[in-house]
Amino acid sequence: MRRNFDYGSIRIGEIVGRKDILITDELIRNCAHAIGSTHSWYLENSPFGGRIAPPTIFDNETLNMLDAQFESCGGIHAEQAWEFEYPARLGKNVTITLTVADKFFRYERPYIVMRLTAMDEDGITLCRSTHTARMTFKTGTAH
Amino acid sequence: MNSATENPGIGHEIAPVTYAITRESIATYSRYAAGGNDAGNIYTGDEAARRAGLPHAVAQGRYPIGYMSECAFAFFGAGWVQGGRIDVNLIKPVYPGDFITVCGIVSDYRSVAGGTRITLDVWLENQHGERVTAGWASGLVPADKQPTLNMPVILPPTASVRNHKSQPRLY
Repeated sequence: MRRNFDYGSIRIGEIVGRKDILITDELIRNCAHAIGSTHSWYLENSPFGGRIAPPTIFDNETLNMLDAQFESCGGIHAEQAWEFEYPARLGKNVTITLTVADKFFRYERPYIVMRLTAMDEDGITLCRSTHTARMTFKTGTAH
Repeated sequence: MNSATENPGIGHEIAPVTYAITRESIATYSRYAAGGNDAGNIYTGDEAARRAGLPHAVAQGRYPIGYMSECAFAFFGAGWVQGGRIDVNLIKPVYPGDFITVCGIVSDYRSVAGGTRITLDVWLENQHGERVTAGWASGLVPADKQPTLNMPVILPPTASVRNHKSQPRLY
């Protein structure tokens, strides 16, 4: 059962969710197509021992996992940061973990900061994403 | 010159690339983002967007950041997918019909283990000359210009955004 997307009940440090993603040919192609790229490292081969995924391939997982946990969640994307440590390679299983890194008010509006980390089956940290959004629905004590 | 391995100096502008943001390109991204379940959201439906207080459908904020990443990848090569950093603020919405130009200018060099970290001020500019997204990005240039494995990295300081006056090319 999904929780209300409520500023007051969201705890800093809580794990929103974990999920496993297999890096498939279809996933790489769809991501590359969505950002208009035909880079050969995505579609043919790379110096990393085979095809790799675009580094931003996990950029939707923050919202997908948030939506899986919270009812009627919404937000205005305000800031985005990425740290790319190693590319996600075709055929690898990747575990995504999403946590609440921070929440705060700015100009009396509630914001939430989500931290996503991706680690592949070999234990290599692939990337970290920090997604800051202004909460727009069911803000609880915000107003 | 549009490669970090060619020793661009401070102030060097990366080759700007302009992307047309269309309803179809937004829908393509939305289908990818939502696994095919892209109907009736604020990105693909004007009515849903109006209910959310927007004039009409808008592009996902993260969608053009993918373009920024691809331009940084073109500039840094392996040093982007292994050691790249980007931190941007989303300032204004991007709408269907907009032309978005990815801009960047070299703002800092720093020696790190195994090579050099180069920082760019980066931004997205629309057809009205407005910055819709802005911040910084950095990548590694390995000493031997080859991909390196699990090299330690050092985060750069946040850089300020500077002016950009070059003419973009249409992508």
